[in-house]
Amino acid sequence: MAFIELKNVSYKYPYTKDFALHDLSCSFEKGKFYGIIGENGGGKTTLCNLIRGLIPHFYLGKLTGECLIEGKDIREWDTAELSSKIGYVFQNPFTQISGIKSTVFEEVAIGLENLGVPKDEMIERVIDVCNQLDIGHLIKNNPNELSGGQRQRVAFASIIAMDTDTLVIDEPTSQLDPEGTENVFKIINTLKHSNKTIILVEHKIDLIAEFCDEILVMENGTVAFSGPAHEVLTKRELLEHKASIPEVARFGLAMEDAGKPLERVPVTLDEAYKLIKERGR
Amino acid sequence: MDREFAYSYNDYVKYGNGYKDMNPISKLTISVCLGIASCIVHRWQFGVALCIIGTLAAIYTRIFKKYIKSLLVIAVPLLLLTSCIRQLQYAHLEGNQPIFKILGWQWYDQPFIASMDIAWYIIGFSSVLLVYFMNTEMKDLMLALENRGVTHVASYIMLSSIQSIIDMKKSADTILESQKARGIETDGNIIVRMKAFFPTLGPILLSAMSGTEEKAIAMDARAFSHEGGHTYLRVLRPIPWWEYILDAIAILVLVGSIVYQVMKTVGAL
Repeated sequence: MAFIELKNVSYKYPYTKDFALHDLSCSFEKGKFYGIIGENGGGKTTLCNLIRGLIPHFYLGKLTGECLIEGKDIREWDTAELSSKIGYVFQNPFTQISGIKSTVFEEVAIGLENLGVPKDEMIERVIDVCNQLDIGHLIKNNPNELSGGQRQRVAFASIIAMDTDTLVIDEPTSQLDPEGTENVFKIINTLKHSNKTIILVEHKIDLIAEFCDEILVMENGTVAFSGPAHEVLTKRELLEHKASIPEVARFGLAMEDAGKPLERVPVTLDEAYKLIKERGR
Repeated sequence: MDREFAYSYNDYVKYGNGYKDMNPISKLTISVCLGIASCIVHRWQFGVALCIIGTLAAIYTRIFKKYIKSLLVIAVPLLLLTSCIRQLQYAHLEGNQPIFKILGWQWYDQPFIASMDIAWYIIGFSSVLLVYFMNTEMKDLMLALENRGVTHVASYIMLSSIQSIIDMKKSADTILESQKARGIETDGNIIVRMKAFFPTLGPILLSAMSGTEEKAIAMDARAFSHEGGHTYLRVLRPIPWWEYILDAIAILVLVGSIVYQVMKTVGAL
C-alpha cells in the first residue's frame, strides 16, 4: 500500500481564483526517493504543503479530493503528530531559523527538545548530524548571523536530526554552491539508503537524474508525467512541456534524431560514458 | 567539531561567575525586591546603598564599563533635573536653610534633600536592574520560567519578539543603506533622518509579517506543537540553599520597608 496517496485532489489558496492543484492523483511508496520537477507556479510547493499537512491545517482555502497519509485522510491528522512523521525543509533559509537559540548546536537540537528526546541521545544525534552535514565547525556560532547557505544547512540538519520516516524537501540547494549542493544530495542519498521516503523538489535536473528513483513532472497544478526516473527523463514530450531534461538525455535524443542512436538514452554522465564506450568497441 | 563544546551541554548552564550562575528568577527576585524597597523607603541613603551594591556586582561580573555608561545616562540628567525642579518648587518652604549658590541662584537644604531622595531611589533601582539585565540571558530567564510552569509557547513568543526587533533593525539598516546607494539623503539633521526613515517602515513591517508565516511553518516542522514530554538541551543548575537565603533576605528587606513606611505614615516613627 502506498504510504501517501492523493486521489483527484484540487486545492485553491484563500482569496485566489485559480486552483493551485488541479485534479491531482499520485502516490508515494515507503523507502523511495521521489523527485518533483516542473516550471515555477506548477504546484510543486503546494503539493509539499499538502503532504506535510500545512494544507488544510495552516493554509485554509478550498480542498477537494482525498489525500491519505498511511491510509488516514490529511484532514484527520494532527499537524503535531505529522511533524514527527514527515520532516519538511523549505526554500527560504532566512525564516527557517527559530530565532531563539544562540548556537547552531542548540538550533539543530530544537526539534529533538520538542519531541522530548533524552538529553544524552539528543547530544549524540546532533553531533552525528552536524558531522554529516559538515557544519561541525559552526556549532558555536549564532545561527542568526550565518550566511544563507549555512542557514540552509543548519535548517536541514535540524530536520534530519528529528529522524522522521519521510522527508519533504523543497529546493534545499537554492542557496548553496555546487560543492554544497553535491554534499546535500549525497546526504539525501544516504538517507534514502536508511529506508526513508524522500520527496524532493529541485530544479537541478542532472542531480535529480542521478539520485531519484521516481520522478513527477508538475504542470498547471497536476502531474503531467510520472514514473521511474530513467523513463520520465528520456521522454521527448518533456521538451514540449517546458520541463528541463538532463543534458546527456538531450544528447541521446539528438543522436536518435541523427539516426545514430545509442543503445538507450542516457540520463547521467556515467551512463552516457558507458554507452559511448560500449559503442566504440 | 569541538566535541568538548558539544558535550558541555551535559553539564548545567555555567558562566564561571557566582552572580551570573545564579538562577535568573532568584536574581530577579532580589533585584526587584530591593528596587521596590528603595521606592518605598524613598531615602537617598537607601538608593546610594543600592547603587553601591549594584556597582560592586557590576565590577564582580566584569561589566563595569558598559554598566557605568548606561547608569550615567540615567543618573546625570535625573540628578540635575530633579534638583533644579525641586529648588524652583520648594524655594520658599518654611525652615529652608541656604546651602550654596550657583551663578547667583540660591539653593536650599530641604528641596535639595527631597530631590536627592527622588533621584537616588530611581538610580538605585536602575542600578540593580541594569546589573541584572546585563548579566542575564533572556533565554536563561525564559528557561527558568518554563521550569516553573510557563508554557514553551509563551517563552517562544517572548524570545522571538526580542529577536524580531533585532531583525527589524537589521532590515531597516539594509534599506537605509540601499537608499543611500541610490543617492537618497539619509544622514544629516533629525528631519532629514526622519524623512529617510519613515518610508522604510512599510517594507520593514510587511517583510516581518510575511516572515512570521514561514517562521510558524518552520517551527511546526520542528514539532513545536508536539504534545507530550519536552526535554531541554540547556539545563539550569538546581537552586542552591544560599540563593534561597538571599531571596528571603531581599523579601524581608521589602517587607521591612513596607512596615517602616506604614509606621512612618501613622506617626509611630
